[in-house]
Amino acid sequence: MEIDPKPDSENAALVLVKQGAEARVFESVFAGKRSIVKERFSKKYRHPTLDSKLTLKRLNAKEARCMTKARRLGVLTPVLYAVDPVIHTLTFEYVEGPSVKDVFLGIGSTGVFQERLTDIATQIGDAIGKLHDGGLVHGDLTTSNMLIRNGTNKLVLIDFGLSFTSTLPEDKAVDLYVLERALISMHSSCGDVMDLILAAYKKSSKQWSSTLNKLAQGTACDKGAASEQWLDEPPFEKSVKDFDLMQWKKVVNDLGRVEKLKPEIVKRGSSWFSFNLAPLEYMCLGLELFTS
Amino acid sequence: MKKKMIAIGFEGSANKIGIGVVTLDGTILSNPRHTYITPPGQGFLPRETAQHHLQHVLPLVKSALKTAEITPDEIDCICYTKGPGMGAPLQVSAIVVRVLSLLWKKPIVAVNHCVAHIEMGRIVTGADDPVVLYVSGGNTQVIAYSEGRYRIFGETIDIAVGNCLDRFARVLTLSNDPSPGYNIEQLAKKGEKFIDLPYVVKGMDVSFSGILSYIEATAEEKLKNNECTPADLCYSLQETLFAMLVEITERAMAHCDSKDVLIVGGVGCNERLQEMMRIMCSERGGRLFATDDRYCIDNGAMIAYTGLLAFAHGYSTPLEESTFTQRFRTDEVHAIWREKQESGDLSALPDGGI
Repeated sequence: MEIDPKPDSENAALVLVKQGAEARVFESVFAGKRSIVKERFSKKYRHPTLDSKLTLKRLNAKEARCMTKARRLGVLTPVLYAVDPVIHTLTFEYVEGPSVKDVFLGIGSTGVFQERLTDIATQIGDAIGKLHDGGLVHGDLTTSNMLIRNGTNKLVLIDFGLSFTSTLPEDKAVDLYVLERALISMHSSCGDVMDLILAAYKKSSKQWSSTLNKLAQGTACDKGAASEQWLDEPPFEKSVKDFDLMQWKKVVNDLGRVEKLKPEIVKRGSSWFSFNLAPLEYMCLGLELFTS
Repeated sequence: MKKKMIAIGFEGSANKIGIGVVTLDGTILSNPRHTYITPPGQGFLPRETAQHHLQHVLPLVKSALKTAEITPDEIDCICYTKGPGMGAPLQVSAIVVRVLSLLWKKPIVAVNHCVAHIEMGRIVTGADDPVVLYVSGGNTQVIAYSEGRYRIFGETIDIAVGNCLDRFARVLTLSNDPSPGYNIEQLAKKGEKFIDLPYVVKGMDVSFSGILSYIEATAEEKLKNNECTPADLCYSLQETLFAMLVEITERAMAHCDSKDVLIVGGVGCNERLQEMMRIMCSERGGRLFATDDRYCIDNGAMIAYTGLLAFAHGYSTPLEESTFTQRFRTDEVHAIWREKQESGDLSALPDGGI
């Protein structure tokens, strides 16, 4: 499968297309065909030990393996042309067509038809289901990593840089969670696209129930992300009761005029009471000091 | 000539009570702040923190007005942190603001704490439309503006990065003065040995609680056997946590095709984090915008400024709705001021809280 790329004169012309988070992507020509060259770069901001650990974890060869595995599972990916383990590059087919991100973003302005949206969502769900049943987790399912091939309108998955093999429901659920988050943050105007994806996923994956159960658990946790005990102390009346009112009174007394203020509160009418005024708030009226 | 609009802002969502007076162009007239500092090895609890805030809020109001050389009459609106944060401390500023609003007869503007950090960062650094990394003791989010709201692209799925650092500082019983994170940063400068720690990035989200459990257990064992120093542990922890943060920020940048990064929040003062982020930005041909402790750390001016932005665009909070909440997500806020900035449309009306 792995071919050693013969650097020819055509290959020398590399045009930077995009700088991703993990790699630089160039457009080039490989054996007369328009191609994409992906070069992984090391992260200078990271501690060398940490960097080499992470680079090992996300090897180029692994990406190539995952990509070919995805193809075997019936998911469309670009055709892999070459792997160069020395300069850390992968060369593969140039897929003509827009990214799903651009298609979805066009919804507001150009008006994408509901059928097209449903078609793409179904293809996404179907593809992920196939990957997961084959024990492959994509790891970076964002709409930038999905292309729609011109002409056929078929979904092509790209960027397997964070992919790995796993049969754990949790890993698969995280995969879907990442996608859900990407949709919420970038494509909130597309509505229920995640529901459409999950519906197609259910049809495509035989193991959907364990994965989706795990996803539901994760979402439940997410809602209580800040549910550490210290945050959950009941804030209002209950804790007010526990304040050292004498101490507070002293502070207010130093500022003076608490007694004088009390009738004014009553005069301001019953509306005060509808705001759940705690004893503390009466004390706070000592603040009128500043009006004088 | 119409005089400049002036707002006073109250911030008390965590262990700092701060009151700031600002004008609409971002000039800070005063910004006093008082921090509740607990003994080494202890964190701050809601009840004690609220008591601290109560004790300091009135003197702070006085000093804020005095330094700014204004009287209550000159103020256009009173802003406060509606959330997110700890309940009891949030309550203090909410109450004070309600009372002041009635006494001074001024409108109230409720402000989202996270959005306030972003707006303060933008006005101070001049960053126009950056990817924002918001890192503090209670929050860890990667945010970018899109279609009227600040959208969260990535965040922590458990504890905040500052919480992870603070709690590790407690294990080492480092001082909480001026802040546990600052003392970890200083100690980390002396670290030499890198200790391998878990590294947990899931898409654009991160997780810190496992790392904390791991290092808490490892620290005890390794320190006992003299295998490493506390400095090595701080160093390794910082390197690992910050590499994760830079990675998810870079992911968000690649995803939204953005070049600039703005770091806000208390952990944003950390110079090592800024350095790592700067290297990443320069590799992508982008710029890093960061601020120092005057603006990174919670303060009243950021609340006042953000509230004033909303107020100037026709938004205020009725007294009945001037509540506070522990959970208040960044993307719940309709950033009307940015919409108008971009489209020049002055007829749009707000549909949500600020």
